[in-house]
Amino acid sequence: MGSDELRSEYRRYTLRKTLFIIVCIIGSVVAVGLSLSSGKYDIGFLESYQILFDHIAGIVPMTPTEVMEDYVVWDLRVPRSIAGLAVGAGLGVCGAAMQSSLKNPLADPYTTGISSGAALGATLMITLGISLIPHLGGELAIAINAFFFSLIPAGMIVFISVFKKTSPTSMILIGVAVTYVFSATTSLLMLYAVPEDLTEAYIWAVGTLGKATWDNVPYLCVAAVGGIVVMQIYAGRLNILALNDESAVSLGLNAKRLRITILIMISVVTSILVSFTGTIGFVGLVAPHMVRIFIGSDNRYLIPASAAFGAVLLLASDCISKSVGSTGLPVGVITALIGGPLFLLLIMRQRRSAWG
Amino acid sequence: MDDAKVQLREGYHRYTFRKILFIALCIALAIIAAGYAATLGAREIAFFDVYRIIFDHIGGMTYEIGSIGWIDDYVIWNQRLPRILMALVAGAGLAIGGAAMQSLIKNPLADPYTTGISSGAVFGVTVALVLGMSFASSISQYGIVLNAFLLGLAPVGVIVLVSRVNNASPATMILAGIALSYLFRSLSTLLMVSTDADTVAAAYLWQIGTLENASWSGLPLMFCVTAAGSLFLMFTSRQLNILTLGDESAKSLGLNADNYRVLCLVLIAVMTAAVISFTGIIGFIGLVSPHVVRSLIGSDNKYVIPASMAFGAMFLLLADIVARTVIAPSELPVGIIMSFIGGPLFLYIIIRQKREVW
Repeated sequence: MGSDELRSEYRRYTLRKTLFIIVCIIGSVVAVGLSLSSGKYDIGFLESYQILFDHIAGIVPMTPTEVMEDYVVWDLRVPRSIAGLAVGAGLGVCGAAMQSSLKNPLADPYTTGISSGAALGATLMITLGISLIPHLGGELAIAINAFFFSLIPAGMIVFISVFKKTSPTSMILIGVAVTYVFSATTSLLMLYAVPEDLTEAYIWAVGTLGKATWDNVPYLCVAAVGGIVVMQIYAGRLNILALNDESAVSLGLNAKRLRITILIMISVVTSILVSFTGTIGFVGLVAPHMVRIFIGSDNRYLIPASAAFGAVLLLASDCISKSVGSTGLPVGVITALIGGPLFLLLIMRQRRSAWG
Repeated sequence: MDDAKVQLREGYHRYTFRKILFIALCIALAIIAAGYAATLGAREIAFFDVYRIIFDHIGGMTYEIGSIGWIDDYVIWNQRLPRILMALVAGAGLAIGGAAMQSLIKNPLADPYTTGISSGAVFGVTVALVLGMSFASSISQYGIVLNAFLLGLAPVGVIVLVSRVNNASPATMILAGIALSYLFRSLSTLLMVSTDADTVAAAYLWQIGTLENASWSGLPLMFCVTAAGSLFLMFTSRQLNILTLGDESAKSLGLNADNYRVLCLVLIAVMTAAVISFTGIIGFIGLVSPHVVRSLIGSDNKYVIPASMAFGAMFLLLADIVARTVIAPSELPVGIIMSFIGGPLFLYIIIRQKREVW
């Protein structure tokens, strides 16, 4: 095989993957427009881009209608769109990295027990009013509770791993054990809660993007962008980790330490996202799987593609969830309702398994 | 030469002795726990009397209606025994389902619900509670049971279809199970967020699982299905062992991996659905019992299957005893107690275990 032939084959290999990422990014730009134009106040699809660019360019709205439209787009809808992109991308990346580093297709960003910790923290605040920081109430207290509690299970995994040789399986199982204890505590709290508190805690756990404001969007963005950048840097090493630990060692990698490092980073990013939105499911688990079916399991492409695909999946679902019913529906429900059958179709159509 | 043979035999005896001892210990403990569980309740009946009353009843002894013996017999046989038997059968069924599932799809995170049974069943129950729709003619207790059972089987049906169209590899089945779980769970959530707070509480309670509603009426079905499934899995434990080696090895040893896997999957689904449609989603036991057993006696399925069964039965019964006594006279859902005891225990076993069983 000549070197030209080799080169053109490599180009074909990368072209498909790059194309997929570009399509997803275009998709998310369209989704932003949809998200900005959907809602009670009627604003056209193209008009919403116009208003957005005008605001960024610093053009001051003149007429009362323009002021109103600027307010609706910039203050009400843009935060939610950004949150959708950030959370979708962040969960997609974390899911992909978790699956690769633990070598398990059932893993998702919450595998280390983050969702159970966050739910416990939030439920403590909602049902008993117990806050980690005294004299704090409302959404902020819930978010802070959720953040710190969600890091406890991952902390235990890391703590045990430092003292004992642990395989990916043991790490997963430690997470499972802690998850069960936390979930049981949450269930107990919910059983004795008044029905209204139970409903509130239940809805918190289902997750929503509706709580996004300009106050909390920066945290979400920092978490998501940080996650994507770090995981992209680690992508090559993730590929080695996904082989097996012996290969990793022979290639000069300390597999155990690397896995713990990645686990910590995934946990911090996911915890930040979860504490402001609740545990939005499906995206972190399924977006990477869908991407794998399209472009394979090479993490150098899987990571950015999962980010782009996760963003478009979550934001598009959020557009639908906003426009259904009078109060809207939890975005996780819509994501699963659309994504579930789609995922099933992809599984049926795929020729070879991306998991060997 | 003979010497070596004797040594080999002794080695094998040692190998099996420990495993059989473990199973015997679990069964003995389960019998003791059953006796203790039967003493719990408003009417005081002594520990040893319990066994006597049960044997007398089986022996066909009849009492004069209204006499003390008659009342004791009635309380033990009609009020306390169904719950104890249900705990044993449910624990055994879920644990064996978990053990088989983990071997079948070669994944330590698998449990009897991996194929989406629980989400299907929850959807069935939510439909019954929120919309009042049921496969049964009347929306009584049986409406909920029937809904849970039939919709619990729906995801597995789809998975079998998918595996016929595509392939029956473990990865495909896991992923199809994930897709279906999410689909059904989101449908349940959809119903939950659109209903009133009291219905949410009722549906939520069903999801945690409890043995409170045990009665003789549900037991025969549950017992027969679990017994049939367990016997099949025990007799084919060799095939399960082969399957964990990999599909290629299985083929070269003359086992049609895909067909066997699908068969077991359906079997586990029917078994699990039969259990949870009466008890609700009891978590933890199906996932953790096999892990506890493996870390104590190794992963030879010939022993893991019966040992998981014995351990699961014992563990669920013990948890139920705690659930009934800890805040007596009212009680907690058994699923919560199991997680509280089992979680730390499980953590300890993971930390202690020396070699990797997966």
